[in-house]
Amino acid sequence: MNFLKLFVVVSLVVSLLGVNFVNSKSSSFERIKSRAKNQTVYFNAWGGSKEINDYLAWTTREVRKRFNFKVVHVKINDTAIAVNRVLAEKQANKNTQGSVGLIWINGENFKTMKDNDLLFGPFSDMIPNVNLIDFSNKEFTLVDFSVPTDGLEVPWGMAKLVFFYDSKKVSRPSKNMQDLLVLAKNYSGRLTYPKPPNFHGTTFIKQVLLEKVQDHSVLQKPVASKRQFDEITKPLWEFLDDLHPHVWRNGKSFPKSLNNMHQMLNDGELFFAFSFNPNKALNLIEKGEIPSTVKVYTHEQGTIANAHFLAIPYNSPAKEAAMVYINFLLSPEAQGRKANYKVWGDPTILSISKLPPEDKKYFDNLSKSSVTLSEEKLGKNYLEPHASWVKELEKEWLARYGS
Amino acid sequence: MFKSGFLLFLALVLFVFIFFLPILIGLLITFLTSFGFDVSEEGFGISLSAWKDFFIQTQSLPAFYLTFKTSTISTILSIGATFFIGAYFYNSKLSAKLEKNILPFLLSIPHSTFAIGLVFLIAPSGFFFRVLNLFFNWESPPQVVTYQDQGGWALIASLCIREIPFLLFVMIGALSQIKTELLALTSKSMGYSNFKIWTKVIWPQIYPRLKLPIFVVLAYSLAPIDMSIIIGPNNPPTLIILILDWFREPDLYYKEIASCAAITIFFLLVAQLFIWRGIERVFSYYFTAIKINGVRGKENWFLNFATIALMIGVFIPMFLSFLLNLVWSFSKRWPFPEIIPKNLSWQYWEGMLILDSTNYIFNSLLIGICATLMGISLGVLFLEVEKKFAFLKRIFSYSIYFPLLIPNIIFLFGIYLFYLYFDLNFIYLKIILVHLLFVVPYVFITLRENYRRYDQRYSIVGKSLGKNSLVVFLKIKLFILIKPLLFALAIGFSVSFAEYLSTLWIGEGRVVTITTEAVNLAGGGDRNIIGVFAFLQIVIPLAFFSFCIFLNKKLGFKL
Repeated sequence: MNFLKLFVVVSLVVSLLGVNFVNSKSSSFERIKSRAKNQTVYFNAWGGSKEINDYLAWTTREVRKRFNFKVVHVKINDTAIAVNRVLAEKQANKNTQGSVGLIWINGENFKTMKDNDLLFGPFSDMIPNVNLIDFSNKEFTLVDFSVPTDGLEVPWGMAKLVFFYDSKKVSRPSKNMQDLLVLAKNYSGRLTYPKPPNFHGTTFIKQVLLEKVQDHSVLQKPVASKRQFDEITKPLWEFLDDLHPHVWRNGKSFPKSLNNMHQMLNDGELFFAFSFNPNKALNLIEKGEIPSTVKVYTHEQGTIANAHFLAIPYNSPAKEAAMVYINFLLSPEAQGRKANYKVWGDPTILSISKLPPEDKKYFDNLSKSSVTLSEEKLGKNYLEPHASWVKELEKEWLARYGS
Repeated sequence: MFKSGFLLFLALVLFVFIFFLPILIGLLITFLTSFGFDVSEEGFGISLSAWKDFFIQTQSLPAFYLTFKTSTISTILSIGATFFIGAYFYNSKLSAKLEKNILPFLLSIPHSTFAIGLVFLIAPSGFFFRVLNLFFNWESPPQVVTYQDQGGWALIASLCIREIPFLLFVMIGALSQIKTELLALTSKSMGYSNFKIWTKVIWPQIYPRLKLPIFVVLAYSLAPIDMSIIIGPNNPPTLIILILDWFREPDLYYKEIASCAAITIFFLLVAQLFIWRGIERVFSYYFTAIKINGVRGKENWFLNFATIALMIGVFIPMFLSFLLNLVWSFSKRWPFPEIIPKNLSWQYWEGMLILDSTNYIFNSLLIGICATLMGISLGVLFLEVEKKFAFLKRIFSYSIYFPLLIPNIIFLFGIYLFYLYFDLNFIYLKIILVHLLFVVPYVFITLRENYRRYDQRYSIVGKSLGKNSLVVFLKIKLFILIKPLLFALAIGFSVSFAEYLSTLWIGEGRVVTITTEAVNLAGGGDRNIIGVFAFLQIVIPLAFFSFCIFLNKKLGFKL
């Protein structure tokens, strides 16, 4: 009996503590909310896509209505511009009224900001909706190009490498890179990738590297030495040497960007392409920008996946409003709308299965089209290599094929 | 009106602060940055590490070579073509037609719009190959390299096509300043052929007037930003593309390396000017010899035929690129090998004109109109004081062309860093001020001849009728000069409207205009929306042009 009593008491205390804990968190968030009022957040986010701009316009209208603060989407064409600005502001000792209120970021830009102490936080604990994120299945939400996020940035959406092929012209998709080489020989000149250091071009060679290297753990650590780099990347260069004679323009020159490749796919100049957004193909077919016969697939062992994040500069003048805005962007409502391919099609980082039914409904309109792939069919996720590998890969690529 | 001393003071202050200092500071910061100088930090340590890193980048040397090659060849070919085309029409009615109707239209097409249209034309899946496909029936677009070729020949060709109309336009202007007809008639009576008259009599007289425009062409060809992005080689790229790439790195150190590339372009310019002087010497020696050798020459029909072919080769691609932009903007999916799109659609125009959420048009108009009005005021002020103080004439007639004679990436780079460190907030004002650097020279050139030719006696009569000088200036002088003023307004606006890099950098991507968006989109895939933007890029300046012509008809003063 005593035992039972003790159990009841203990569980009561634990649950109370839990409630208390949640309460204190939510009450502190209430305080943040009240302070956020009337602030203005200058949200520096890449503005090169109409869909994304329209989506962000919707979010700014909503937070204005619901929380009474203003978000201005500063449409930069390169995140590095905002990073440079904060860096310059720090050097000029402008430590409170910075011009960047919130920033959409990942990879090397995040590393630069983290290394230079340009970020506010850790703050992710203070955002209630962070608890909805699927950290366990999507481990790339905790490390950004193998740099730990340390709560200095909060994941917002995810990217995963998927390949396109035009089923009207190509008989079958590739199973892996070695198989892609076979297809490249069969359809000579109809396959390529953007020129590194273009982000997507580099992603392609990272995918080759990840498929060619057995032990991925070494890629998660910084490059140790030139010798180690040469040794590990040898199969990559051998593969590219084999591949290039059979790609577009015999590998003498490369497209500028992925968008460029999608256009060439549309023109029939290319039969293959790829994307970092699994829903992109559907969106492009809908707009008539690629042939409707294009199909999406991934490689058997897995493909690169990563997340993109939101971070607050240390001198942001509207930190509270930025946090409330982030919380809204992570809400099932905002995430569901973002995942809709007709709106943007950016996959959610939330764990949909764990959401209560009333929140699941926001994800009901997710496409069940044959062009997109279900979560299982998307296959395993490869983590991004450490940022130092990226730099070295780009340098080496340019030295070998860049002139 | 005002005391002329006050006007002089005002003009000098404005000239120094708005015009001279930004360029000087820009150049200086770019130069110092390449040696590791950091504006924000105290102290000044010279370091060569950026230069070292610039030279060891594997792409630097090929890019250097390619930049030199594309600019030299395109400039020489443009001048050569201008020379031969001029030989064909200098003494015909064609030149008036060209000057009035064709050339102003071609010149109003911004470089980026032309480049976008040209890619539609020459790409393996483009219009040209679609026409060929009628005979060949390929299954997929042929695998030929027609643009972004490693040798940079597509860039050279497109630079020529774009610069030849400019040089022709300037040349026709120069021809009207010498007694062309009389000279031709006299020489003809002495038995010289048309071509010999051109080489021996006319060309040597107009060449000095072409020098400055030739240098402008040369400077532009060293760093043609929008054209390199769209047509230029990218593997290896030219220096300007390398600069833009390094600019995108989050690490500020890459800005130092990029500034080395910018300074390299500057040295290339200086070297080329010296080479040009050398070539000039050789040629003038040669020309003097043939000028007096007495050879009369025969009419050469082949040469005439070749010249016409050349002219068609220049004008047709420009017209076609304009047309293709228009068709694309109305078509919904237009895949290879369709010659005419099957489905037409308004949707892209609707999206642009009705749902212009980003204010592209508003931004372009606001910046363009402000920059032009300020530019005109400055131009008029400079011309007014220049009339009163002769020493200014020499200062202005050299320095005002600086922004056109130096590839602008070199000083824009420094101005960008200056603004970055000193965080000045008025973003529109900053953009307008930078646009002024390009608007003022063009406005000045456009106004100068007419302004200097103004008959002072009108003002004297006005004053003798008891009006004060401000009234005389506004109501008589400006009114008589309304035509050139409106023309300058139109030119100034189209210059500001077509500015790409300055708007992008100084606006940090926050202020988007039709032009920045058109070039941005050109890198992407959506040709329909590119078509809309490219077309707007032509239509808005043209509309402004027509508006000025209309105003001129309404207000125009007829003597």
